[in-house]
Amino acid sequence: MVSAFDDPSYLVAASVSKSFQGTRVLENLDLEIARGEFVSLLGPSGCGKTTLLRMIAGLLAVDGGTITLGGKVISGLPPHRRNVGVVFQNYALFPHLTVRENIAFGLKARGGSTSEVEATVDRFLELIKLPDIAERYPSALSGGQQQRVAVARALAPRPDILLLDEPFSALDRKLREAMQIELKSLLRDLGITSVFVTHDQEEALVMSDRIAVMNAGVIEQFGAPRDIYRFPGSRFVLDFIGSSSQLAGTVLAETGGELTISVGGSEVRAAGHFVRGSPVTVALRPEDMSIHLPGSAPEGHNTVPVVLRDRIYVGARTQAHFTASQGESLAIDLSPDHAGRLDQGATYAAAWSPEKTLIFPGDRQ
Amino acid sequence: MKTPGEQKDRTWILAAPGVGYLTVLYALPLGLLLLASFRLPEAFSISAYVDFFGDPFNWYIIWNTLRSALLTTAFCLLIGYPAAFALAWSKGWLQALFLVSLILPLSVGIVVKAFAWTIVLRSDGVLNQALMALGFTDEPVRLIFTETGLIFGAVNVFVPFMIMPVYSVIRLLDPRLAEAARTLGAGPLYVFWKIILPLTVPGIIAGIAFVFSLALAMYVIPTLLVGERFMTLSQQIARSYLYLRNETLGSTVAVVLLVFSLIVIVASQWLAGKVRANT
Repeated sequence: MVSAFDDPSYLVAASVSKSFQGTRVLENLDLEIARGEFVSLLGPSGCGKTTLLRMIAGLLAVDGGTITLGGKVISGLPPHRRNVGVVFQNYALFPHLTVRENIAFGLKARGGSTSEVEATVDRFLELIKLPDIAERYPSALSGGQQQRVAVARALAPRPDILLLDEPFSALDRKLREAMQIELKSLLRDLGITSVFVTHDQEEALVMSDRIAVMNAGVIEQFGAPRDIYRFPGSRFVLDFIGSSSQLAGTVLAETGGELTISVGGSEVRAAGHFVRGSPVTVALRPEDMSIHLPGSAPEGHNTVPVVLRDRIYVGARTQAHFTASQGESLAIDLSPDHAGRLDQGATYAAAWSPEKTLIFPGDRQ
Repeated sequence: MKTPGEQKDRTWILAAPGVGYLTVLYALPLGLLLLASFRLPEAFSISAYVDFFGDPFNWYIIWNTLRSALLTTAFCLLIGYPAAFALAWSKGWLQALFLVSLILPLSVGIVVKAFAWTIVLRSDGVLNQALMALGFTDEPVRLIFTETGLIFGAVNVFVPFMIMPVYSVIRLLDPRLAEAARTLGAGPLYVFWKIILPLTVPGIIAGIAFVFSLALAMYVIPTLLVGERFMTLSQQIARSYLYLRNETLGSTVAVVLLVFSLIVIVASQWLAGKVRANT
């Protein structure tokens, strides 16, 4: 996916650090983004994602390190000399200017000629499908319209990069999903490099070419959404992205990257490198497991005995909750039909294929 | 079905004490004053106004009043507008210090202040000694009992009334608007002219209206700092009542002053409404 972009080092943050009143917010952070890529900075509040975005925009100074955009060091430049576009969380539309004047602002500030400015504004009003509201003031717009105007205003001066700070957080769920798809296709059509800050993992998975999962001022993992979800690089990423069930185990043996792990008396196989006797956590996605009568699990699968606790109907599927032998909770996605045939309190075999097993260093108990 | 809008509006109850107080102690006497200027109840006549406007001396007083109020307002704006930003954008103890230095002088009576200024302004005062020591002038400059001294004192008293409304508007200003403008390629000056100044206009209008109407009606400051030498409408009113014992003249001047104040208030309301309609 990444190889599709011609300049893999378009935006480079090199060992960037930032402290606020003695508290380190970013710690020697490195990040490289390709030209035309859509990258999400994903993490809980306080992880430093907005700080990083504001430093790229020039609204915050870096304490250490450099930021380079298109081969030019920009970390020393004031924001108006960086040619970045920013979509703010509350959109920050100028309340005393009309939609047209808002979109024209950046073009006029750069000294564009009137006819040129008007033509560009008209083009962007078409692009965001709002040509009829050009003369309105922001206070007369709906949340979705405001967001589109904010995007158009940021894009109109042809920035080298678009920075988005949780632009969907003020919209309700239905509208948010529609706007995500719309914005993604608009940005792809324009081919603009985008950095997107969010704490919403679903949003990041939907929108991004790559996701940088951040925690406590460092990037825990940087990769394609599928890889982040499929192969979380740390316990934090595992917990933050998607849901998973976790079982405590102990490594019995390792031969050539193949592990045998004891999980509550059952033997489980997985790929990985751990010393014999190490405590590990076995993590499983709810859609990776299946439920069988004891003894009838597919050949070659890992199995553990589980007791059905309850079932939660969530539309297309039913999430069944089981209790494993050491009391851990196990959530498994089943079809409603299948789940309906199971008996509460009965013992079943939870099965999954060894390559779907996620292994992390565990806590010694 | 009853919607909240159809319910009887009882908001007036909240206004009743204030309205009652103002009616008895403000509107009523003001109405009587107005009537007195028309020589009522004996006979209706506008001769008092004809006499007043026919006398060039009164035009001189009006011009004095307007000019000193305008100059006071202009200097208050010049000093107060940037000060309001300093107040709004400062943090912690510095902001507390600014606020105290703004509010505290208000609690010192004007009379006390006026006598304090005379110490600074008189010919052997601090300011003149400083000017001479620095070599700006060989002889003491006449500051007290002049219009310069008056403006000096009036600005001192009224500048908080300029700072406060501007400050409250700045505080409501979303800092992200300036940030958005910066990222759109606008330099600091461009951001000020196109974003900050237009968005603080309501505060400027309110501040001008405050200071100008206060300065139009000021009495104590000109009386103490200049005296009879520099007549304003307020001083003329006081003189009419206290020395000349001419109630008709006094109320006539009072009505003229009132009309000026009304013009200021109506104009500022109209301007503020126009600004608001655009946002």
